Amino acid sequence: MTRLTLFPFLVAALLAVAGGVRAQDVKQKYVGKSSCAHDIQSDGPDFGSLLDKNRNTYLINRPFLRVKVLLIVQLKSKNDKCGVIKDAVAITSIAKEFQFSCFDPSAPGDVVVGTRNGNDTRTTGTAIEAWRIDIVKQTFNKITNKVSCTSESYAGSDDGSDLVDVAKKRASQ
Amino acid sequence: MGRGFSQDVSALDSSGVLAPEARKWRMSLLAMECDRSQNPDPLIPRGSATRKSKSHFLSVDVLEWYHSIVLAGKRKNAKGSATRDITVTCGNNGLPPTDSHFYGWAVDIGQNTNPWLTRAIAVDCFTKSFLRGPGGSYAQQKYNSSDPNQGWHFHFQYFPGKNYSFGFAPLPIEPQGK
Repeated sequence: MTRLTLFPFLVAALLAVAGGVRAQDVKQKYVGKSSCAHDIQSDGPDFGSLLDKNRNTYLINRPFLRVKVLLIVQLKSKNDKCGVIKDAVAITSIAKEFQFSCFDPSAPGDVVVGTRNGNDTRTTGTAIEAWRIDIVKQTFNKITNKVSCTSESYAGSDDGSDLVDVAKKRASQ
Repeated sequence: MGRGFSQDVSALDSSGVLAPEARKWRMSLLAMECDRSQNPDPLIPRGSATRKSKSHFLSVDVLEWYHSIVLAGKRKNAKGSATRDITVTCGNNGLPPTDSHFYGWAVDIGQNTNPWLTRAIAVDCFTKSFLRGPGGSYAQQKYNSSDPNQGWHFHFQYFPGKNYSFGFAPLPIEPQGK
């Protein structure tokens, strides 16, 4: 009986360890490489946005068959297509999608990214998991605060703003 | 709203490239009247074969971009005997100068009007035919109205979007009015 009771906890602990290892593997695989390196390309299209125009960093979502990777990439100039990957996180659930427009009420001016179910038809929903982006260090920092993410349309003309501007604007409202 | 333009894939040569002589023909392609106050891709009532509305010319440059979507239609259609048409449900007409559609830089292709066009096909086409990476093109899947049951369309634009965004926006489908 005791074994049966402990079994779910053991499985959960193993999965957590496996998840942690996977996260480390992702960082080892991507960080420091060129975003155009041949061995980390996906058949599908990236999705990216300008994270910080002052540092010329981009958030790039790269979908693979069984994993989706979110990268912070720093380009040397705005005209470059490739840059150095500064940090990376990954999700392995096919149902989940990275979201660039997330909001942490405890730090409204921070750039926060999260995940939501791809089939969620609501405009705004609670993030399943979330990361705060350290703009200076160019890293993802996982947070456990309650974060909401909004489906954002990026259609239209570029107005010169970046995700840092968007977060600041949101905080001031 | 009215019938959109249809592009007969027979104008493509064996390698899938639009034949030079098709240029004049392409110029005659028409796009549906498009107005943001209306549903860009309304459900087609049963028994209605066509829609009636004004027609407008569509930028030739824009046509180059969704050329591979036409090819996708051809591939899907290879199983059958009839050619498959693609209809652009919103071109460069009926929109204000603040909209990228106005300049012929963007098109909407609705799934109600092009029921064969799945997200997988649209993503595949985007990958093959649009500029990729920073500074590249942008695409998204978007609901036609606040009611998800009214269907959705794909928006393709040649230039980056807001926040210099590029690539194919991930799910969920963008709500209308955002």
